[in-house]
Amino acid sequence: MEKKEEILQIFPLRLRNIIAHLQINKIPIDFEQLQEIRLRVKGPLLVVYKNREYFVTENGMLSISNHRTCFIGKNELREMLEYIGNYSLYAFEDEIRQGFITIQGGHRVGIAGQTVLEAERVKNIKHISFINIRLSHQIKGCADKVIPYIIFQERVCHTLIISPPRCGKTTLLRDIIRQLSNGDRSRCGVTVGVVDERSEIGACYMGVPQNDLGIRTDILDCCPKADGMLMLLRSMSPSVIAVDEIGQREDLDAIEYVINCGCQLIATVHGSCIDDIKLKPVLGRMVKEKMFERYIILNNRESIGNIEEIYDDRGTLLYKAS
Amino acid sequence: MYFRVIGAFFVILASTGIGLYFGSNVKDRLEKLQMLKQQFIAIKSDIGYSKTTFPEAMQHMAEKLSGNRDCYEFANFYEELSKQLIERSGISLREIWENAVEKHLKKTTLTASDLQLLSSLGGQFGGLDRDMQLKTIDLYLARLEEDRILEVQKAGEKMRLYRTLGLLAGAFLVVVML
Repeated sequence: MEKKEEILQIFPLRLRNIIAHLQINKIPIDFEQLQEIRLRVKGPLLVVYKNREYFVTENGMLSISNHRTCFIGKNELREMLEYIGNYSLYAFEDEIRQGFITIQGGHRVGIAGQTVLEAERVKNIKHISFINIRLSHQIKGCADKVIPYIIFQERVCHTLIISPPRCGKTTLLRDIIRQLSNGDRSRCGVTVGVVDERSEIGACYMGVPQNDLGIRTDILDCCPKADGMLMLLRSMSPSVIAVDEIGQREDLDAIEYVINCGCQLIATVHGSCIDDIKLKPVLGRMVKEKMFERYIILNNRESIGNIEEIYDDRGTLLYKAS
Repeated sequence: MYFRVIGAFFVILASTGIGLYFGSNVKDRLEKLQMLKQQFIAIKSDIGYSKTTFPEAMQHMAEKLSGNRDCYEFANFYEELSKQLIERSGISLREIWENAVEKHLKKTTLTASDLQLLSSLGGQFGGLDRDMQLKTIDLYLARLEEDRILEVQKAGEKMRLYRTLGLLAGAFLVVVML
């Protein structure tokens, strides 16, 4: 299924028609460049296209002014939730508790509303009135620049990709996995194990990845990272383990275990520079102990997934964007 | 006279056949209720154990029943549900469910009350709470079992009644016509 169709099928019919015919200056938009769609009950339909936010009019035009904007009804959002949850919101209890659901194609749907608490912890979210759809992108070749830096003496280095939200760290990780797994003329492919806690990397649908992660990749879908890393290590003997968005305390133990087992790790984390990471209680220790051998820092200045700097474990700058 | 006797024989044969047909419908309904029970136990387990989404659970059930000639109506019913739900055609789950019941199960030996009970189930699915979904299925299974037990108790009597009525109706017709 094409990305456009994957996205359209979660919208009610009226919005489906509008989004299917999105135009800018009377020219149909390139869906590959569409980054976000935001909906709020009784609020305007907003999209982020090519790093810029636009209002969407009733006839599908992207506009910077809110004149003739399309507004979202409460029932439309309710209907949309039915589609997002495949008429089965009960199957997404854990995801809803975390505030997002990943849909077919690996697109992340963030939700907000009224939280239901139990023993001072979020049990669920009800009256969901805000939805943010972040479109997943598969850009083959976007890791071409970084591959030479993360392979040292024919060995994959423990690598941490650091980036603020919406800068393409998952997209980059996905392509690194694909390239390491497939190999090329100068280098053999390696077995890669992916713990895809939010189904964003492989976008598995009924266990089958929808994104190309390479021919030697095994995916543990919807599995907590810490448990998944250990499970993969025991069951699939991967050479490289890849995980997205580390940072929990339990991740640290699993990462230490993975690294000490001779398995290479590639992970991503939210942040804007190494100093940011050093300030984080769990990850800071990892950086100080030089667990990672390469740090890739991204930004979205020129385009999404723009590589700003690459450092080694001693903090030596290996690459800097010109 | 010879033709009259042959005619009377065929009338009695036909009416007895009709009686037997109605009698076998009672038995068939019992089997269908039992099948529905087994299917919903499997659906419950699919949802409860693997957190399967509703369209997937329907698809699993359709695949499980496909090829089984006794259950082809149910296989078509689940197949239709799964297809419609995956299409997300802008119709609510309740409507999709009711339409599928009407389209595929109306011509079976299930009675109007069986279909009504099954139809009402569609409106109760799709909620946030998994326990609630499972309890809804439990309630349906309990109602189904009640109906089945009631039918089992009456089945023997009903089948005998249909057979006798068929025969007697034939005999009565023969007497009237002769």
